[in-house]
Amino acid sequence: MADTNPTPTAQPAGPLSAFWNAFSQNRGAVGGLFILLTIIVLALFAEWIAPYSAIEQFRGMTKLPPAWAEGGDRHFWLGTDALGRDMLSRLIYGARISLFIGLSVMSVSVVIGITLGLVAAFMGGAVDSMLMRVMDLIMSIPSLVLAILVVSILGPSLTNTIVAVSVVYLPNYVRLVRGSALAEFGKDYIIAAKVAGVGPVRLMFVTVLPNCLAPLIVQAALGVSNAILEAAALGFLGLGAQPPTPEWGAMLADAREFIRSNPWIVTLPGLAILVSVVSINLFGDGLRDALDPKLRRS
Amino acid sequence: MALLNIKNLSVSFSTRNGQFKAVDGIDLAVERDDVLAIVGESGSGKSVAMLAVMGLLPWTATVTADRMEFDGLDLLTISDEQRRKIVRRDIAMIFQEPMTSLNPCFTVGFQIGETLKTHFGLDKMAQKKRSIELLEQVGITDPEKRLSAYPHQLSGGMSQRVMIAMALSSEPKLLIADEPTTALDVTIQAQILDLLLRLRNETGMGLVLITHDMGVVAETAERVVVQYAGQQVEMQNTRGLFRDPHHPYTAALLAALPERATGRVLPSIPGVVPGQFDRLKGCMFAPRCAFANERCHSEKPKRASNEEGRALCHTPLIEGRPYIWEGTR
Amino acid sequence: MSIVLEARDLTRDYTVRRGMFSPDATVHALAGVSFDLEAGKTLAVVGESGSGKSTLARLLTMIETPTAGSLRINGIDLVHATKAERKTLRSEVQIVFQNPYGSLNPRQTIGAALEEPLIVNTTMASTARAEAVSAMMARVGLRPEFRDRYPHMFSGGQRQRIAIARALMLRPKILVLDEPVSALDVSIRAQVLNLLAELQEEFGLAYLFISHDLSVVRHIADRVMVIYLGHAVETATREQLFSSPQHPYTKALLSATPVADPDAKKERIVLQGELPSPFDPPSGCPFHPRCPQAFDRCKAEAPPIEIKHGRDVACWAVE
Repeated sequence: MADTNPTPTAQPAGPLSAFWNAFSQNRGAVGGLFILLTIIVLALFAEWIAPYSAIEQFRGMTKLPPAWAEGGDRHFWLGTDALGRDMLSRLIYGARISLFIGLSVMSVSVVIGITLGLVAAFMGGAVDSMLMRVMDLIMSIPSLVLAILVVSILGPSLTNTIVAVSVVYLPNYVRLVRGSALAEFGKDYIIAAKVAGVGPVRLMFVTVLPNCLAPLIVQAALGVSNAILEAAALGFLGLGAQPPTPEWGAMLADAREFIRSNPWIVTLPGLAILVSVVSINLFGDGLRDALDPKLRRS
Repeated sequence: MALLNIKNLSVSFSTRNGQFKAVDGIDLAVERDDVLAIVGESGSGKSVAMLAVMGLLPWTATVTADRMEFDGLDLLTISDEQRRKIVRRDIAMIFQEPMTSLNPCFTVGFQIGETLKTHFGLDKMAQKKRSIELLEQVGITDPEKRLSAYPHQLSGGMSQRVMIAMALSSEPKLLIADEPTTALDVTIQAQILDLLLRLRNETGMGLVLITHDMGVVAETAERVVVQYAGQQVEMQNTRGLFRDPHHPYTAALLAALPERATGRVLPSIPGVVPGQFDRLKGCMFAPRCAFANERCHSEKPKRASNEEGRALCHTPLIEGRPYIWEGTR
Repeated sequence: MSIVLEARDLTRDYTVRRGMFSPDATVHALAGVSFDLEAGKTLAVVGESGSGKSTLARLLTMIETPTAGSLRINGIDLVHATKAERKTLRSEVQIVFQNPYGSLNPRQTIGAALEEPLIVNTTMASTARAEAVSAMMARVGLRPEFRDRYPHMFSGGQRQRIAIARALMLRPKILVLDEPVSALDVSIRAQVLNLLAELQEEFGLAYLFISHDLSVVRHIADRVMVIYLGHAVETATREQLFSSPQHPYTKALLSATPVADPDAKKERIVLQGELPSPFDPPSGCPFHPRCPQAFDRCKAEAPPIEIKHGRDVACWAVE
């Protein structure tokens, strides 16, 4: 039989390079990505980059201003806190903790969220209703209040912070996945898969899920920044990581009383949180714009 | 004087991968009372040409033409204001998907009334009266009740009739119908085509019918333009086109129709329409043409004479065989 | 002449909820349709929207079960089959959809899409599967090197070939084709129809070809069944149907189908009115409100399917 199709003459760009083309058009997003990568590097290689340990106290060097200010010491570039610990080192180790919290929360809630969302979409009926009502319940309680509740029950620690924040952000993912899955259901390729004999589990995870990923990826990226903020809030309230762990929120809480006298002890952790969250958000926005085919120009 | 006069119309789109020429050198003349069909498959640029006339193309499109006039008015240089006032009143267009062409949030009466208000400044009472008249004209039973219906309450055929009523409300001189019946059932299609022809007889407006269905062309059109890959490859009257197509593409298209098949195997056209990245040196149809020779692959063809259907071919077909010109053209 | 599928009085009703304050409504999508499918032959099902042809496709591919009636494949009655029997029967009937752009998973390479039926239904080793995929791709006219490409990189005609290839991976006996060429250009249509004819001959497939386009039906069908609002109004051989249609709806359909010949003379029957709402079907014969030959009995009593003029017709006006 004659070969009735010639090669598509131009190789359309592969998915990865097409994505990068679209993504790099947004300069804010690229900037965000760059800063985010820097933070990740700091977090990964903290032991080699940070000049001192995060918990070592230098008696007699307490509350030193940053090196460029009057009274500063060039050994401590960003100054020291009330107990004489180096701010720079604490911030760098803090990056590791914050990122760890952000990524853990995101992973846990994404995995559980996908499973619950797909189950709700597939089973429908009573199971769907029940799951969504539980999610509604979680969403109806203000996020911070719920997080505090969970941590109060489980006790303040880093792990429990992760659990609490995961619970708070779970409904987002469940609803997102459920909505995307339901939208795909009417399409012919699902019916074709069923006719080919694909069972429900494979249908869920192999057929439907890859088509729901785009909004999920964006939400997950933004979810990391949300998680960092929540964790910082919990830390500020003393319910998160316990001292002497250099968590940025806890650092803010400790330094509250010095806001007038030694402002840098408060400002610097605050700036760190700000920069991380903004860079992740810029990156997430760029990701969404690049992945959403409708927003692309021809 | 021709109602719509187009010479050498070209439309290019600027895409991420460079310029894409969707329409390449179209000539069209539509008179009052004319029924012209523009036939082509996907990628032929048939809709784009008419959208250019209406001024409905996105900003990425560049429209060039030697001449593009409607009723003496130069469409290339008119202002937006003039376009809204004159062109949108005198030329009407209806589209393929009647279900999505109507605004789902507003009733039928409101939407028709809007057009009447914009072009004629009628008040509410006059709008209602005229709307009922229009709905009757397009064959909708119980028009008064239909005025308060929402688009989702109407069937496909009924929605298309409402679209036609809206198009007629500005009393256009020319109606462009872009695949108006493709999404409809065949019995409803017959009703709508009958309606369009009846309206043409009653009002004397010109009708341009864009379609890919050769059957519709045979039954409705008086003249036909065939497009392939953005170019106009043939223009003839309907009878002549079906009896003796002059361009190999037209001939191949007719031969591929199931109703003209003699055996089990349909003579199909091998290959696919050239895409954005396949701009050829010679004739665009040459890779798929059964009659192509060396010259066809290397040299762009010129348009033939009117007797040969103005075919864009070095050797237009006469009675199925390529005719080679001895002298110059 | 081996019959691979027997359908008798297939009926399918849907209960539709009409909101909190209205009682549930019943839609009779299919009302007692009977036919046989033979190996190597094509039965065309012709009907417009609302006729129930999509429902028929779903019943045959076992996505839904009939409310009443029997459906026998290989002698096994589907309605009373055990789960194991249904699993084996599933690979006997496959489907090709109308829309080449929606029937393939956009996130799955076509190689993976073609392999999937084998992974789910057989115990073939991965090399054997890969070979089967390459062979089938070549058979439908695609280059096997394209197996790692995604559907959006192919044209409509090529995607339809992929869909056909996928349907044939399990070597079914019956192929349900739901308007497989309606969304394709005319020149591509011819290619795909030729492919289908070849495959039917090679594999001895029975086709149930659903279409509203009578010119395509005329080309490929052996027998034609015309349905209107869930009722089969006429079932005849191709020659019979096109040369001497009996049922008024068949005649109207033939008249309404545009013919690509400006000189052809046709009896012009333009049907009035619209398709009735499926929630409120007409009494008696479903076609009587729009029928040019309707009389009193048509409104009161639904005509049974009887053999008249050598074929099955359901009409009081036909002698």
